[in-house]
Amino acid sequence: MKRIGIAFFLAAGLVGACGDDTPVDPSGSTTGTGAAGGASSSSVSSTGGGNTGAPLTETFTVEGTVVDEDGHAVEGAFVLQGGRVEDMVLSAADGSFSYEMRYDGRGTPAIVATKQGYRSRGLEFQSLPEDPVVLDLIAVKPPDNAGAYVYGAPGQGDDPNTLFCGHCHIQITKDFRLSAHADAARDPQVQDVFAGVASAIASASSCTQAGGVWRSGLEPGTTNAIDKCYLGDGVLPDLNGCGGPTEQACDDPTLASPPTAFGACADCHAPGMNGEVGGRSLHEATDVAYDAGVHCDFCHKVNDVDLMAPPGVAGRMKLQRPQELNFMAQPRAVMFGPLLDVPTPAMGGSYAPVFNEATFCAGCHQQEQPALISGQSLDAQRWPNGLPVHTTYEEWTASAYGQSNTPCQHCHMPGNFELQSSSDLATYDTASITFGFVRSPDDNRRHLFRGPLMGRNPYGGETAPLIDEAAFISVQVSATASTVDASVSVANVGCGHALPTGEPMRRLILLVEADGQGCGSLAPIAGSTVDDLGGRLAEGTVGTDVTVAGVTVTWPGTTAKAGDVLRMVRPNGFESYGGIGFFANPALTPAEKGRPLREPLAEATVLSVVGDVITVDASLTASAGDLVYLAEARPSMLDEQPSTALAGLAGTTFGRVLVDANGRRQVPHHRAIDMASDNRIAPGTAEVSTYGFDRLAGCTDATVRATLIYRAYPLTEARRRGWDSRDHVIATAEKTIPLP
Amino acid sequence: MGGAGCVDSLPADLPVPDLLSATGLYSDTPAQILNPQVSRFTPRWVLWSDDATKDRYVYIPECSQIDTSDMNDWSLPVGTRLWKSFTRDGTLIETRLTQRVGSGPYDWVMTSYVWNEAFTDAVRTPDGLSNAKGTAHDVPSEAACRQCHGALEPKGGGRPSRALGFSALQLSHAGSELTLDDLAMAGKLSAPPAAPLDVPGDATTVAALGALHVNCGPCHNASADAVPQLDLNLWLDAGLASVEESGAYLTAVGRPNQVFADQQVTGRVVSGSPDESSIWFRMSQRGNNAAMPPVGTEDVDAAGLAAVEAWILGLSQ
Repeated sequence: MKRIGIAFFLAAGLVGACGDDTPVDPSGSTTGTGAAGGASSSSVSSTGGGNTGAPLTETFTVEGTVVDEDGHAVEGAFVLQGGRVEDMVLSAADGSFSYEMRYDGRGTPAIVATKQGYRSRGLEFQSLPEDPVVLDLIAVKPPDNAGAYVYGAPGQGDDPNTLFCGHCHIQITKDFRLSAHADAARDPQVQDVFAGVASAIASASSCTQAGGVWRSGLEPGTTNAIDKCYLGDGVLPDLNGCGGPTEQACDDPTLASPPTAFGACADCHAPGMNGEVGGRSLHEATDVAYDAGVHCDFCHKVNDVDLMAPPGVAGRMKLQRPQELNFMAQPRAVMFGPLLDVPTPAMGGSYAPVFNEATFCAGCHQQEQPALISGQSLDAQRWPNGLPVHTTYEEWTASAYGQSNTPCQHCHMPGNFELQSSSDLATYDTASITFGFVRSPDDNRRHLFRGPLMGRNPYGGETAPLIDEAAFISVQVSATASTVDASVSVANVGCGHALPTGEPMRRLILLVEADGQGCGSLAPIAGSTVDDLGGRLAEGTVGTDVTVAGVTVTWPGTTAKAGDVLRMVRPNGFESYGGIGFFANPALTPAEKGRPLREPLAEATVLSVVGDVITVDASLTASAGDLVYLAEARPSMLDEQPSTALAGLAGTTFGRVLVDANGRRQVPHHRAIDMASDNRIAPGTAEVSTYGFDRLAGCTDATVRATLIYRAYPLTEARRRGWDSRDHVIATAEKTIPLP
Repeated sequence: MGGAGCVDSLPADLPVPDLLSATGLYSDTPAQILNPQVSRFTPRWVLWSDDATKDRYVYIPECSQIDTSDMNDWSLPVGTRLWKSFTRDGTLIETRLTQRVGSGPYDWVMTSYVWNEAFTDAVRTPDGLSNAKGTAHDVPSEAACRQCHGALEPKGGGRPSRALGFSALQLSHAGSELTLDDLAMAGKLSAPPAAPLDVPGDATTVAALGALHVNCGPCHNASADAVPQLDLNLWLDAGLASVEESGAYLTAVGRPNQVFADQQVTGRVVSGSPDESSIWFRMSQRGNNAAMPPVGTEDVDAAGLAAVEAWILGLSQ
């Protein structure tokens, strides 16, 4: 009894803060009366239950009616005891229901009614009810209140102010703050590509040296002007034709004719802006929209997803910000979510089953786009539904995960094994309408939105990145009299989507190397090589723009410097692969699948460069048509080290290659009008590549090693803009065979 | 059971103590003398734990019975405590505690106590410990316990019991420690089985299905606690009339698998061909993402692998 008494005291004390009807803020402070009496309501007008004064028993029956705010019966409402989502009944045509409650001496049992389109309603019991209860559901009425609703901020977690989500949802808010969703709008890479800026370059001189233009533009997240380095592709200059080298920047606040095309970036990267949605500039994102990106109050104002509409808030994510008023003449709170039993008026919990589905994530993680640059178009036969730049949802639906309806949330929002509820306050002892109810980890998910490099518990302990669970590499080795031959399989054993997925700039790089006991490193002489997705400083073609003569390579305009590496490869047909989407069509020929096979020829280190003439440390022989990569030496350490130019090494890459109207590869997707290839690895499949190495005399054995790397950005883009691009080693494998 | 006035010797809702000596396992912890109310047991099939020697103990409240209305899904009474001690390379390392502290589906405490250097007591170690006491043995964190012992509520068939080795089928043997018969005779089962719980099939089959049950079944089963994206059920239920009714037969034998094609692996279980069977292949792996089980082991379970190999070889092609 003592424990229950304390729990009730705490609950009653907090009801004044969180339990009553509330203004618009997501966890807003409220005023009003709290729970009291035998049947206490945390609602505005739910009534009944009486007050027998008799202590609650292990089981007791609650009878009642579910009505709407006009008193009309609501048929088909879910009625359940808070926390018992496995046991629910539906209200009858006249709104009536009968429900057997359970009580084990802990918490405050509550009956809850809910239905899509309404706010859930609950009634607590301190003693056995005497009369039938009435649970009134208040509708969430369309349309979306774009005109007056002001989004609330998530806070940081453990926030003392009840205005913030983090006041009650401490861990969820802290999780969210670690996530990419929180960074979606202020992510420097996103802002750089949007404005055509290199924000990491911080001075006029270094900007000029990098080939950029130092001038005034908008400071992201504010309305202020600052000096920035304009460099590289940008949504604003590319789509609006503004910001030429001698002009004002496209985002200069003093520009007389500001841009009007924004590439839909903000529809997903800053969807939580106050006001009208769809088609706005990313630079309109300020305050919570900038600071918290895809934030709590935005996501929980989505009541459905229409996959046929354009991505994000341009139509696919159906927003419903409340416009009906509460007794304080403020918009009545509403938070859409996956749970049936969130009747806290402060939340205005409203059941939206789409939160439990992958469809919710498809709001942004599935995108087909038209040609965005004026005057350009897609090949309508090749891309009848638009260019598929983000297809994670589609990859999932085709997988065993999709077919078993194991949604994105299963891996990216893992169940919470530490808390008993999404509110940090709820336990069996405190379970109540105000604090929430004890839930299964399946109904209480971390809001980490784990990306490829986030561990299961990023605070410590289980910090291994998610992508480390994704791949299995195996190596098979054999030998002939003159060669050591290997095949390397990379299997997607842990992802419910392609590997990699998401942002099309992501790629995997597989490096395959061999050495032998008594003979050292074995040179690659056949099989696949790493292409431009592995990064190169420059690329030339022998006979066209490069001339090779022994240790002298003539390459007009070269940027080579001593210590760089030249790797030569020879085109030899095309690779075959499984592929994703358009490229999974088995009727396509290897040539149509678009990945040229380039076999290794030679590698040499640059000793000196004089003008266009490069002197290297080994004599090279080449034929017209051979490719030369200007690259960098393979670092001895790769994991978490700065990305380097690996093109031409034995190995291969996995990625989706977007192409712009000029034929340039690996472009940001706003420029893309075509896709050259997509050999990412589908769930439950493997890609096998083959290699040949020179079997040197004196080898008593041969070891072949394979290293699989994840890289988030194209090397050229990262170097140009000063992004901190690091390679992450996902997995390694090796195999040794004796050489008799 | 128990009747009015019955008092359990160990309280049900005691806060999880910081020392093993306060959990009720031993009456004399330094001497490791068991509490008289605690019983030793050994399951019929033992989870592979990398050559660790394991000793298991259980306390069932004197005043309660185990709800055995579903013989495949026991509900242990509130207050039940199970301990498992791990000895590796001759060193006693840790003793794990699983305790039901309330009637709710999440009213379970799972933690581990790492023994001190003098072996006089063991200290709760909620964050786990890698390579404990100079061995290759890893003590799991409390959160990690639930990865194997289930976390979901019973909706949709999640398993309410978190004690994987203390089940009807696992205790149905003729060992010298606590068995199913002992529990029945002591009146601890609410619905004792009418007949012995036999597993159909010859000894080779039973050994293989048992190895799959204990090592794979906790994740690959038909409950809501299972790995959902795979229709793979290696959990072994009591009461099967034939081996063909087992989940292993129904969901693994003859089912294709193409992920490991370069290893010449073509199915989950390819009759007569362990090398082509992904279950055998994954059991043979360690240190990569093909390895199964993915947690709790760093060395291949040679005996389990041999049992599965013998079974697959015996399947008619």
